[in-house]
Amino acid sequence: MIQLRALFRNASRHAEHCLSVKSRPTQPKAWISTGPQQQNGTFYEFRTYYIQPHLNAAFLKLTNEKIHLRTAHSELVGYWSVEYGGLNQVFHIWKYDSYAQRASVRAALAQDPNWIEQYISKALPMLSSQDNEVLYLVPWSKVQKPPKDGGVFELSTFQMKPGGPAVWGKAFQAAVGIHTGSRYAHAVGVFHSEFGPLNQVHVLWWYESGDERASIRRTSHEDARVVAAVRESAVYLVSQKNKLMFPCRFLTNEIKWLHALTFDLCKCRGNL
Amino acid sequence: MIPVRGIFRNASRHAEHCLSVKSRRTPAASVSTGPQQQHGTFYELRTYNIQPHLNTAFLRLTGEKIHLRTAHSELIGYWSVEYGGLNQVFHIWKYDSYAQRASVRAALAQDPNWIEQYISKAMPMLSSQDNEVTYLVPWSKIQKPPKDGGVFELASFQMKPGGPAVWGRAVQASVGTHTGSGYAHAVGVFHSEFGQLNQVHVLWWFESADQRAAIRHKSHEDARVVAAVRESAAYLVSHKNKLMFPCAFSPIK
Repeated sequence: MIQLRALFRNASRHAEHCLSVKSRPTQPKAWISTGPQQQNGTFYEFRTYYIQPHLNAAFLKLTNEKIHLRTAHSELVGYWSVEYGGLNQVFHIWKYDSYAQRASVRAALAQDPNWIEQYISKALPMLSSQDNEVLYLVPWSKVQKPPKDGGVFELSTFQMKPGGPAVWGKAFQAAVGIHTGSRYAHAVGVFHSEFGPLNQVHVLWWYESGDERASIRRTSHEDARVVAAVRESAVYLVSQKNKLMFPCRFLTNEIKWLHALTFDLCKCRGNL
Repeated sequence: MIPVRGIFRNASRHAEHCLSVKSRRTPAASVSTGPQQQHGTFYELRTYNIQPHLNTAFLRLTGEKIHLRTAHSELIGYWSVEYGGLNQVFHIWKYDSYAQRASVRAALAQDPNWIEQYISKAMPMLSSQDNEVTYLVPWSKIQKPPKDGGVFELASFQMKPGGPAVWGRAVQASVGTHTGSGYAHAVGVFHSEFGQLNQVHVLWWFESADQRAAIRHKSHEDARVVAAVRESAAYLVSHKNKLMFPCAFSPIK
């Protein structure tokens, strides 16, 4: 005998089950898991100083002259002046091996009379504010110097949806990779925030010039692979902002005297 | 024999498929490229925040000396913010390329009159300066208002990521129903390139703030406007605006 009734009952129960799964009062599920984590303590500190407009040129000049007093204590990755997307702003990246190492650096700085007298006491009154952020390099990135000196740097800052790299890491890596792999741009480094606004990723790009960047963007926007990869990663993106920055060319002790003679200022000019 | 079991199985599978498509988790962002401008022209939007007690002095000095600056490059307009900001000026400068702008700034740095008569006096009056680089959207151009005197509204839209290819048409339609119906005059529509990204600014002109209020009252009862705005709002994250008065020396006023 065909057990129709049982069949109907099972099918009906199955359908009800499916439907009730659908109408179950919805608790949003956040999907968070862990991805690869770095095993060392290295971090990068991003510092942004906001300078009083009329003191921008003076600040850059003083910093140019005295930064060696600071770099004697710890490693400076780069120092830039913001040109587009911000004014009277400098942005600098410092590398540390651990929080303990940074603490000892700062303790030493506080005891360094030259640093305090020749720089800090004069430079800080020129500022309206300072800000900082701590970041780790994403596991698939490393700091890569640009192919040549000069040029312009774009700090592209992505506010990602919560969930961490395990959620957006692969898509983001693909989006960055398609730009670098196609030689559209040079990525100096890709950084993920640890203190400051979280779920922020910064990509520091290098270009020969602002116009070269504009021309490259036109080309890459017609490259289907770039478009597809960016589309994938934009799924996880909340907002984005960027700045174009000029590098400050700081002078080492050895050649400082020569440049002082020629009065060669930091390439970044005061805002005029 | 009626293959009842087969029918049930197929129905059941179909139901599961439908349900699982719906519960599929990854949202697809729609990003593709739209028309891009082929030339290097960009517009720099500069905002200065002035120390409150020096606002008047700053405006006066700027009125007297701005010619020293406009001798170097093209000023589109210069405004003082009246609503949605105070002690703020907003100005738009046009450049042909980043290289052209760099040479303008180099020349300014070497211009003793500019430095002595303006910069050295004006900068100490400011608390901060900000700038943004924008491109005109492809379907817009700078259009002077029909007459002098009047007010300008800078409406800033924070759009969802994805770019003009996603929201371009909807924004164009929304702006178009306002201008096409004679409700407002759009001076220009700008899309951000440096600064906060995915921002669109529409610079509107009105005869007065009260006239703007009356127009809004009317346009909100226009079904076409409402529909077009509703469409574009699907892509909108946030929105802010300022009402500004043109400075006497502004080319657009």
